[in-house]
Amino acid sequence: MIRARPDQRIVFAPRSHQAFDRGVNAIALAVRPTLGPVTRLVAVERGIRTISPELLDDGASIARRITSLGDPAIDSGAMYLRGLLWRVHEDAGDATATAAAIFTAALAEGRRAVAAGIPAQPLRAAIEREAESVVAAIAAQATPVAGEAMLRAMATATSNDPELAFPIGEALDVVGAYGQIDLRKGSPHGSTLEFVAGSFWESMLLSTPVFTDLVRQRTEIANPRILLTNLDLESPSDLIPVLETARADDEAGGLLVVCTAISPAVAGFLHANSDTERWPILVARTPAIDQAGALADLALLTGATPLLKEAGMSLATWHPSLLGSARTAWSTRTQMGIVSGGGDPAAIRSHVEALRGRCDPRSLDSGAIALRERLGRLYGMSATIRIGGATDAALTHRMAVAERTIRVLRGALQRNAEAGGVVPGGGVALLRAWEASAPHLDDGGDIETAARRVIRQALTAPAGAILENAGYPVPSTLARLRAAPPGSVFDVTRGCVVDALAAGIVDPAHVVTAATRRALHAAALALTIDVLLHSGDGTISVSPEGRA
Amino acid sequence: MTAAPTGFTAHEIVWSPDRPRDGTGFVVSEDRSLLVSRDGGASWEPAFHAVPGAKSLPVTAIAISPGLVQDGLVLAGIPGGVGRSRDRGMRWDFAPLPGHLPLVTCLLVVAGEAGPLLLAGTLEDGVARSVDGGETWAFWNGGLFDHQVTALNRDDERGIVTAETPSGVYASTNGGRSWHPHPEGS
Repeated sequence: MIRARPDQRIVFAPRSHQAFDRGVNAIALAVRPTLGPVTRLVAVERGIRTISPELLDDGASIARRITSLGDPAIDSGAMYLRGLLWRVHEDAGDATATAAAIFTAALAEGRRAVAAGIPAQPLRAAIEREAESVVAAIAAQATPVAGEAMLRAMATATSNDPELAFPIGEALDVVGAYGQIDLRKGSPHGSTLEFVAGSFWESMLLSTPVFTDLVRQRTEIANPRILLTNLDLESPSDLIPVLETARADDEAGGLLVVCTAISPAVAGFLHANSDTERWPILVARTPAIDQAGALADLALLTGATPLLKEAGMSLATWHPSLLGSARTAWSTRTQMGIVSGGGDPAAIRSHVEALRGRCDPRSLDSGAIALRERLGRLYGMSATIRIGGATDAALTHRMAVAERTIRVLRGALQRNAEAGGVVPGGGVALLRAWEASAPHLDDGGDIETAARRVIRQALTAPAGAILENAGYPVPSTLARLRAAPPGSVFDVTRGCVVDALAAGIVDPAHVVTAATRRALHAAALALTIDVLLHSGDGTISVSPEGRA
Repeated sequence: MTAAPTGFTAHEIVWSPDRPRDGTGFVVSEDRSLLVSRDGGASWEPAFHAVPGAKSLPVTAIAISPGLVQDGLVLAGIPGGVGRSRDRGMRWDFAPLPGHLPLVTCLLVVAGEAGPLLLAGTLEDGVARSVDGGETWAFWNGGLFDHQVTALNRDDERGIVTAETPSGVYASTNGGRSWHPHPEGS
């Protein structure tokens, strides 16, 4: 006997399957226009009709804006796919529409198999086994990423915005997978790129601002000596030995003090001893974000030994050897930087290698972001892209697209990754992965054969959707592709078969493998859901195995 | 041409790729003077003799273009900048490097379709790069953790340039715009 609270509703198969699939299809259709180079946007109303809608072209964000389709049973399928797309976004940063196409095709073919008598649980296991073979076949097609042209092509493929792809490709070619790229709003006329030499931190200027470069509001010191501490400097007399040592050094062109705070007396003392033209003294606040990491990196770059409050150190224990150096130090009101620090190059190199070993350039985790920022500073060159946009909506959209594109390309550039590099784009890597295992379609029993048919439908779906979106006939175009040499893709913008690498129609391998693996596993699991349970308040439980 | 100076020791010597025909070579002597020969080394004269005020300018490095026959490009490192000749060392002009008087330790000219790529290694400031024939220079030190550059080389086979430093060798695959540790030089 089945019992349920009066405010709960239980939906059994086959109605549960129909409702679930309707929800899945609704989300899949919403993100489908964004697949391929001939994409269209989805405009999302912001709740206030007098402001312009949000323009989206990534499946995860579009799906995330959909919170209900009205019927809780239909919602179950929609939210299941929505969750999958967000996971793909977190994992890979892109290819969410590809994942949706794979998922829906696999689910539909799986439903047919189950309807024909194949048991769902063994089918799930078989699909999951096949999925791993497919992922390996995709990874085997990967080619290492090399050169600005390929990066620009990848950026174009990811962003569908050639004007934006140009500076992104160039910036990543210079700063690499771990480098620092700042995105800022620029002029409406277009995007610009500039590179900043050296390392810099967000850091308030504590000394009296007297700028040597009045236009840029910036003071520069040639060959500075550098004092690092997280102490508050309160007594001018404590600083006298520091100042005397730095002044006695004939090669020193000024002094940079990095500390947490200074008293008015210290500010006055340093101002009185500073000569902006000939021997400037700058006092910058110790970077507030990840202070320990920033001090450690500054120390390594400059060769200074920081005076740390936590270690019980003070200026009374100060020694001349604690001072660091650089070829140049600079400061604005909000930033402080150094160029060509006097630290031990071998130590910096091994420190960077150690940090890289701990850093995932694709991760959105706050710890990973902080680590990436440290690596970006240590790299010694950063890029700033000023993004243009004709309207606020266009600008916001392009900023989001640029962020996503950079993240995807960082992943492709990462060395020693599980599946670094690029594979042929346009869904062709999936087609080729299928072809690698196609000869074995009817090997094994009914369950294995059914699983392979599911995989075949799933891996064909993204290429089909891209061709459909661009207005090409799917069966005949796929036939042309199959007859083409390995590494060929169909260029939907020109209507011909071309070499993927030469034409720059490529996708990051890690993105394709992540989307494929997650979509196939999620579809396999979804096939085992028979019962939907939802309560009156709209919350839903999805039971994978759950017959009452 | 004056007679060959006697008693000088060559610190660095470079020859024209067309030496059998033009006999052109440059020497940086131990006292950092730049000398030029037009007769295959039989005689030498100061290269800057025609440059007002530059006759005694110390030269820290010298490089000639692999396409010297076509472009006549010769580079000479001087304190804080690079001297450039586009007529095989007859006339010279000078361009400063950015920063605080960088000292050039080595120079490299890499032929390219869009014109030669010029690189200058320095004692403390890393590698400066010029893509406009030496008019302007900028430092590109991303990934180069050691800024004491002792030698620059090109590896045409692999399409890379390398920078030697006391702590190891770095390579660049994008014409000196970024660097990474070179496995063979670690």
